[in-house]
Amino acid sequence: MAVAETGRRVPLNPDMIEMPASAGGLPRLVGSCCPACGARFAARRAICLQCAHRGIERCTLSPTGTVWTFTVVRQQPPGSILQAPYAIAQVQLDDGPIVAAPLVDTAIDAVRVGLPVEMTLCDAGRDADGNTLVAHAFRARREEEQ
Amino acid sequence: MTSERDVVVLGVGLHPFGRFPDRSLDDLARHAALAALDDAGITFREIEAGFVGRVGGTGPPVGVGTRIFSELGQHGIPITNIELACGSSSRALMHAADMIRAGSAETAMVIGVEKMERGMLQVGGAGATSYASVMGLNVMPAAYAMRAQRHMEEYGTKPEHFAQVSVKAHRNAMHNPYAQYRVAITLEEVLGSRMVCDPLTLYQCCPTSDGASAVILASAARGRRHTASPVRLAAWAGGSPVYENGHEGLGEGPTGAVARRAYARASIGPEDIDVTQVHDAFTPGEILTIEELGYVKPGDGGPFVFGGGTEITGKYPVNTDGGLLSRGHPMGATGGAMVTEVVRQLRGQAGARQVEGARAGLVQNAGIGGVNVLVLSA
Ligand SMILES: [Zn+2]
Repeated sequence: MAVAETGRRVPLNPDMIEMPASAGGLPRLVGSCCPACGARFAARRAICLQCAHRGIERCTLSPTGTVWTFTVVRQQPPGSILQAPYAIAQVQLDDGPIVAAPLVDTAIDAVRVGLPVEMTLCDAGRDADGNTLVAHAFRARREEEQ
Repeated sequence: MTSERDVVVLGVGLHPFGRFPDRSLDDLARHAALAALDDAGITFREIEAGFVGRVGGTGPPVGVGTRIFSELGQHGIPITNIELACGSSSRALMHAADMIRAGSAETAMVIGVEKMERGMLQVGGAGATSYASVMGLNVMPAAYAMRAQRHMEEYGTKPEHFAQVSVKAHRNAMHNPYAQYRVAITLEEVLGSRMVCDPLTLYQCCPTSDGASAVILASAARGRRHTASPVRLAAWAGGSPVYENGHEGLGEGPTGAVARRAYARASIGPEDIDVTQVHDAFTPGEILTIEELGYVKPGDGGPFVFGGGTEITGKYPVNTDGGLLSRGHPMGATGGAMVTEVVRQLRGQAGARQVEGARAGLVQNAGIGGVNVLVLSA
């Protein structure tokens, strides 16, 4: 799951992740925030589900959260770049929204409800220009593994 | 208490569920439709509205309903296609019932039909190329597995509780000639089958299937011409996921709230239900749903099922025909098949699967983004 060290990294889906502007910066999950009521959403939305405000804004979401629930996919689904067995989770972000994501760089047996996790990237192939495509994932928070 | 505009079930019919590579979608649908007409004792000319519930994926995407009905006869009735994923034909039945209650038709036929590919169900169909599919998140058993994991964490539900749902489903299906799998399996075999998505093993996942169902509804006034004591469709209610407490709904919808609405309309409570069909596409479907329907307290579903509470002889018999797990799950046909089983139970025609003295029945059928609850009474 390690991301290639060389070449440009390009989001597989720019509606899901935002790459850092400067070297050493961290990628962030993209969501939606309501300027009227402050509600935050994991997906891109046009209208606020909380207050029906039109004109919801793109924002970045907390890179940390905890596993709300999970499973281990042991049969390879067609079309997936992840190789079974792999863990997936509904991650409750520290700022509220729940986002579905693969769990990488984490022992499958160590995944549990409540596990603190942090956002990372996983390699999703290459585009026509040879750039590395990256997608969102989570992994056990480093301090948790010690 | 009965009104002329009450809705009754005049006829039900199925094409067996399973794999039928030599039969077309139209063949399956026609077989079920003719069986329902024979069951009702009427001719197709007496049908005043037609609905088809079907999901698709392969085969003709447009106008399937009109084509299927045009082969049964052509007397100019309105025909409507309804798609709500695995809940398509029960939602179609609700709209047909609305038409009859409103007085815009005296009779309606709902056909549910599907021919499916083999393999693991994917949200959006096989070959979906969405971001979620590429990221390995678009896996139907995983959605149920994650709800199961959460239930295990909150209530201590155990893998064998889920597995028992499949043991019971297979045992019931042995007595259903329309079922896809008519073989008993043991708890050890279910738990020992290949793990698909923890904690769900292969035998806790419904098969993909071909099949068809047909249900004929009528107004009470029209029904009286054909039978003295028809099964009533007493109430129906549907819903979709609810945004609450800052979270978007993760399931198919607010089953509990939808059920309470249906109970109120039928003037009954969960304690009055004698036989139930729930959406057990995967085993957690039964345990989580009986809690949402109010049969048991949240968290008690696992031990209740494991203790035999949903057996044919239990307090709340569930999926007496084998359910999606064993009867099979041709998506568009499932809702109509659930209603067919409850109707047969309420008529006392269920043979070795009969629930003694069943007077009231409930169907809970869910599709991606929607849930339906229908209450029937003898
Ligand atoms: Zn708002």
